[in-house]
Amino acid sequence: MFYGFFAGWAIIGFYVVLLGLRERKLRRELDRVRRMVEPGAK
Amino acid sequence: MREKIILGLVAVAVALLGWNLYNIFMVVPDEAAQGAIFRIIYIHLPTIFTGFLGFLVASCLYLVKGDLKYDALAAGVTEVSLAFAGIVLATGSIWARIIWGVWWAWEPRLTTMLICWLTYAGYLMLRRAIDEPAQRARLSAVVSIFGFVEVIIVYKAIDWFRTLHPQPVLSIRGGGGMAPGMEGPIYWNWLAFVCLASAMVIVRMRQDEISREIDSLRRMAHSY
Repeated sequence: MFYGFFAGWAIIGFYVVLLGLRERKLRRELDRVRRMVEPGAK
Repeated sequence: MREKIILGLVAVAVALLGWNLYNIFMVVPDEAAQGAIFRIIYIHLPTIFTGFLGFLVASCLYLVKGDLKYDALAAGVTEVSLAFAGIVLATGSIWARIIWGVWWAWEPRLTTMLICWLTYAGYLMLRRAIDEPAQRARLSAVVSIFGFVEVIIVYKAIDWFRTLHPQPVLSIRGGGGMAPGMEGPIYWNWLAFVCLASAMVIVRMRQDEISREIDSLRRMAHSY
């Protein structure tokens, strides 16, 4: 029974971590592209 | 504002899940035939309800509204629902190992559920393969509706076929196999998972907005 509950929460936890990593990657990319298009940037 | 909505939904979900865990483990008695393992139903059923609700919303969104914004929402809802449908397969498999003695049986309910999960996984893969937004939205919507036909087959499989899977137990499906006090936490857990899934979809939508902003900035950079 506990394995069942653990598996459920592990999948939710894994997905939340995945969402967090994706968000961090996107924000880094957004900062990089913003710096690229800033006036005065090469 | 959006941060507050996410935090609010997560807070409601955590409070409900905490209260439900207390009820499930401390209040609800063991089931007469299965013993303690029956409690897996309290995560198995609410997650499948959440997943199927998400698939229903996702299949209707783009076709009803015809707007790319809704296509992005449908993709987010499908991704989150797929995670919940994955929990159903995992918890069902663990329950089957204890009760049936096997992790998996190729019987109609389980097999149709696996096909349904694979169909929606295919939906997400298809989206990655098509670059043109309007074409991606149209084809994804078709796959999503096709997937929802699968959802109906999964739901009705235990009525249509003689299966190993237990027959309906909830009173709303005419089962009547559970005492009212044992049924309540299933619905409260469902509400909690819907709140949690909604928060995840909002986060997913925010990521989609960031992606679009990155794309538009890249186009701007290329036009210099």
